[in-house]
Amino acid sequence: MSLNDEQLDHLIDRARRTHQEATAPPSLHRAVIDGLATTGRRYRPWYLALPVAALAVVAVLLVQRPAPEPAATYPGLGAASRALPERPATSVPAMISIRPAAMPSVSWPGIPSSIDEPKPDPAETTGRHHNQLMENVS
Amino acid sequence: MCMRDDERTDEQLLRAFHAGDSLAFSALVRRHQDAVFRLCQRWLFQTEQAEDAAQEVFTRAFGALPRFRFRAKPFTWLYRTTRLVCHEFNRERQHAALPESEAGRQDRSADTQDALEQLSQALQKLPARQREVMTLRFLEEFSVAETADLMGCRQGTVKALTFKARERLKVLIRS
Repeated sequence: MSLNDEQLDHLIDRARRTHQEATAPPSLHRAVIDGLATTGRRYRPWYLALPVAALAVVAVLLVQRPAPEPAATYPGLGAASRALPERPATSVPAMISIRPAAMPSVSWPGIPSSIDEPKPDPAETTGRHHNQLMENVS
Repeated sequence: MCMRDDERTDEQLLRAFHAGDSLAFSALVRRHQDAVFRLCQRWLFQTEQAEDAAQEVFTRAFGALPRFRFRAKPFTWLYRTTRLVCHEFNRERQHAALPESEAGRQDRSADTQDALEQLSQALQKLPARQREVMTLRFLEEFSVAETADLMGCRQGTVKALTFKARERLKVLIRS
């Protein structure tokens, strides 16, 4: 047969009195405080970590900062010059200027004397050379 | 003027501790050690383990104080730490909780002992949430609202759990 509400309340009431009589052993408080002292744990408010965190952020930003941009290659163009491609190390005018100006120009039939001269038509050149050869033979 | 520890609220003690008053934590321990110890005893069923668990609760609370943001009541926070620690202690033991320590029974009359023994054993057979609600509502005498706050649930849930627990206890404890 199960209990009714009144019997259960009466039982719980007695259990409550006994339950609340129980107190922590006197050694508990001392154990907690001594335990914290012997383990060396100290209270450190969270805001004490702020300066350290700020220094860490600055250090990371300094390390990750990109290298300074080179000066503008085309002075006078301002910001637009940054969009232009960098000047190549060996430019075409520099290659042409390797040959001294006083160098004699040698011309052979069918071979251009300079890279600046347009190439002759191979068909025409071959025909002219053939005619010269035939004249010499005759 | 320095107020006495027992005149300050939990919040005031914690704020004083945050401001550097190292004695405020000691006062908090003294204020709540009995309740924490009783709850540990109720969940662990052994006095020695309850004492160890209570010590662990306060040690963890001390470590977590820098992160306390006063969003919950200090005792609510302490209670949840207590519950967590007791669950961990129970998990470590890996066996059914014992009824009570021998030392706890010595100076009680046979009648009281029988009644408490019956209730204690019946409480052990309840599901964890029902046991928790019975402990908080009827043994520690928290209100429905306070119990809901401590357990992190709605008041309606507390009432429903209380009803189910009482019905179950009536059946488990034979008259």
